[in-house]
Amino acid sequence: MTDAPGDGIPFTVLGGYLGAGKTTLLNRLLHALAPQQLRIGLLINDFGAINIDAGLIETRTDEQINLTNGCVCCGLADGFDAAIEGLLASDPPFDHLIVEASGVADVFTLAQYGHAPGLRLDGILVVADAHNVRRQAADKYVANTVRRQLAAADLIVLNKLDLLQDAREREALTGWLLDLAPNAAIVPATRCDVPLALLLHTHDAHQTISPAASAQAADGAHAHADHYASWSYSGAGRCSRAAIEAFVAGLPREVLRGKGTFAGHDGDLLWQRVGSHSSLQPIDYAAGTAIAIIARELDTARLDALARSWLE
Amino acid sequence: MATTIYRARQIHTLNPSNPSATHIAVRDGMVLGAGTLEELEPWGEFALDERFADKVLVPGFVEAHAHVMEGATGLMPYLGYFDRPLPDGSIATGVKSYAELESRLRGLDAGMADADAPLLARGFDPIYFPEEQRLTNRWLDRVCPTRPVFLYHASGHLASVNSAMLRRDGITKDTRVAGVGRHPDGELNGELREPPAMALCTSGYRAVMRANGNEAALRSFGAMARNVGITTCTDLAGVLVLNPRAEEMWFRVTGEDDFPVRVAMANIPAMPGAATDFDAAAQRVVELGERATRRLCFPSIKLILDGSIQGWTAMLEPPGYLTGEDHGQLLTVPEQLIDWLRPFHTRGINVHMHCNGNLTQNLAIDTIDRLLREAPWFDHRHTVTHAQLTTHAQLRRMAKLGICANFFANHLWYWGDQHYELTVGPERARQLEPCASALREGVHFSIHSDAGVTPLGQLHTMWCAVNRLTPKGRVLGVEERLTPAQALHAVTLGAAYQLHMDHEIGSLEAGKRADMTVLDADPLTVAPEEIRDIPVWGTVLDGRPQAAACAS
Repeated sequence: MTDAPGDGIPFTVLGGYLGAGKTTLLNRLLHALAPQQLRIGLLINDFGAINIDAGLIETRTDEQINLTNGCVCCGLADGFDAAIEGLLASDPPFDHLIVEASGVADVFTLAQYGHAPGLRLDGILVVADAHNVRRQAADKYVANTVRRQLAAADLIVLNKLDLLQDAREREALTGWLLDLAPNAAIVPATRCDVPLALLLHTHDAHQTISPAASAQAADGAHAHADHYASWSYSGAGRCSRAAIEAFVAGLPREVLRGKGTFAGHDGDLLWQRVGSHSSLQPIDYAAGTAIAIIARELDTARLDALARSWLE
Repeated sequence: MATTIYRARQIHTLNPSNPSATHIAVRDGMVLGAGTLEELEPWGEFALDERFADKVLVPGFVEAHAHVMEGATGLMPYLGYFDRPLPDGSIATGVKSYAELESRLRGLDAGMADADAPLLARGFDPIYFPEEQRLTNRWLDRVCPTRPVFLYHASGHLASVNSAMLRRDGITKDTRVAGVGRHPDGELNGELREPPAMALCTSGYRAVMRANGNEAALRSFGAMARNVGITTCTDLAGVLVLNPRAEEMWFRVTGEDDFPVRVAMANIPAMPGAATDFDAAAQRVVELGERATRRLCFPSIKLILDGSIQGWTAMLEPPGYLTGEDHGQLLTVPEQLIDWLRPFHTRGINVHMHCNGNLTQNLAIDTIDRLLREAPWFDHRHTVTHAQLTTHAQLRRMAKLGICANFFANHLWYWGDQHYELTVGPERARQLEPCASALREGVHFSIHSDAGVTPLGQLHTMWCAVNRLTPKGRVLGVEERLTPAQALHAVTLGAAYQLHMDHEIGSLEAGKRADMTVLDADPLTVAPEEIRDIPVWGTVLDGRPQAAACAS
């Protein structure tokens, strides 16, 4: 499916039921970003719970926290429309907007704001508590809410996996999640320790992500690159729209994140993928075709062959 | 200080020790007493006011669940199905067919001077139309080919716009927002469902939203309340905790000498579904309370726990909905509700919780039960509001726990047939708004309009609870009917009680506010089916008579 022309600000919805780890994930993300690396605007459901080191806070009011790395956190006191409008009016513009949804939010409906003018839906991330998610999905109050959230996700961060020692249990849980959310990619995690590159794309359309570098930035000493495989491709030739679409469609479902540009005969395209949510969007100019993807495991030989058959 | 003694044909005081009188003495906005002229003379020099000699006086009506957005109904054209009172005392006639809609739109279009200005209207509701229910841009384009049109539906979940409006706001075929409706051929059909889609229509949706709580709406709200005989009206989703900037306007307007109604504001501490620092919010409510005036007070707060029954978004206990798909929308995290309530409860702030479905109502009752073990408060009067599908077991628990109910009695009329046929079926439709059972089980209760969802008007709400009639002529649950006297109690003392205001308002007794509703006929003696038709002369607020606006 093709997005409307014009490159809007990438917009991510971060959902998940109470206790899954949304706030942990956000705190990690904010601490991981080097100054001016990526300027993120965050809409925070529970403004009081966001816990940022004093050293990172530049200014703070009841409604907004400005961080030294350029990121801004806003509450939702005036409602969602007003908050988004405020962030969209920022000059210079943000590189990325993230909405932290409430534990019971309908993330699919929230994500629709990502199709509004000025924005581009990057994806729906849902954090699930590996220890409790099945119980929650059967709870008399929240079953439907939790199931709807998972089903809407492009990428599920399956968190607190350390609480599930038995490999068969983990496998059963993953299978159960895939039944509920057949289109989602599942990222296993403990304490929300997930590479930044998996969660967000940088706004700069002309740079490809460097998984290893982003992972390093995301978490200092931890090298997530050990746990993830990446593959990249670049080429100078132009190809048809049909070939580009065939290439994108041929990528394995295990791909967690993908990004790049395609030099096309009928114009250049920006490609983004989060889980199974993939978009091709016209852009003014690409220096050439340059693609990078991340997954837990990748058959690089197969990917090389896929690229050769469609892009060359 | 001047004493006025009003003579009336009949005064129902709702003071159980002194229920009926012909005269009432008022000084400095306070009731001195009710009785015969002779009984009141010893209060000293007085002026005898005979203007109500042929009227019936009852305690000023108290509406414990309404919203200031009702005032916005009068600020833009109304195209709803049912007739609706407007602030100037006139009645906006309901739109009952597409033919009527067409002539109304043509008239509005012709009446607008600026050819490019968008035509915005509220209240449209095709659910009751016998013909095709869907309204598309192709129909609207035929009626209004050039002027942009935005029709905001009564449900608040949908807007219908014409092609001129789609063009004006740049909504095109390429828009990917779910909720932007399409014809089978892929072209846009002018339907915008839910806020993300409606918000694309900046010149329509934003204007409607802005009108909901502005100064003009507050003024209309006051006039509309007075016109139907209400002396104390809640704004049950107050914004002064979320938006302190609105404070100046609220205190200024309600502080004007002739502001016609007392507003009891129950603030929402957070956007529905969202969390906040509830402790800070509770502190803010305490501080607002310290600045309460005679016309603006802050007795309660409000939390919204689910959606609506007719929208299939209320959370129902098994066996759930009769037809349609359960879209139950939970707007609180069940495990967190107790933490949200605690800061209010421990500060002695009364909480009203919106539960349309009985599943969320169970959550509310369970949570209050737990909270009371933790922090006893014998007189909390926390209230489940709407409480439409309350079960008998729930009533028994509520009675024991001291939880009040505020039943959405107007639903019996406005959606009673839909509940009988579609949402919950005959048995539970007969049990909808179980007022008589609440009385029997000893649950303190009131009945309400939820205006602007349905129009303000306590006589109409009483009429619903007394007759339980539907537009198709069904009587929903004869066993749950109230007597007119019980219904009058529900809209006066019953409402005042759940706002912790029954020592000041709700009955006409020595020492209480001189708030009265002035009626042309006696609601306790007219035929029950005529209660809603009783003309309202106006009100007496803090001892000051104020006539309802009369459309000439």
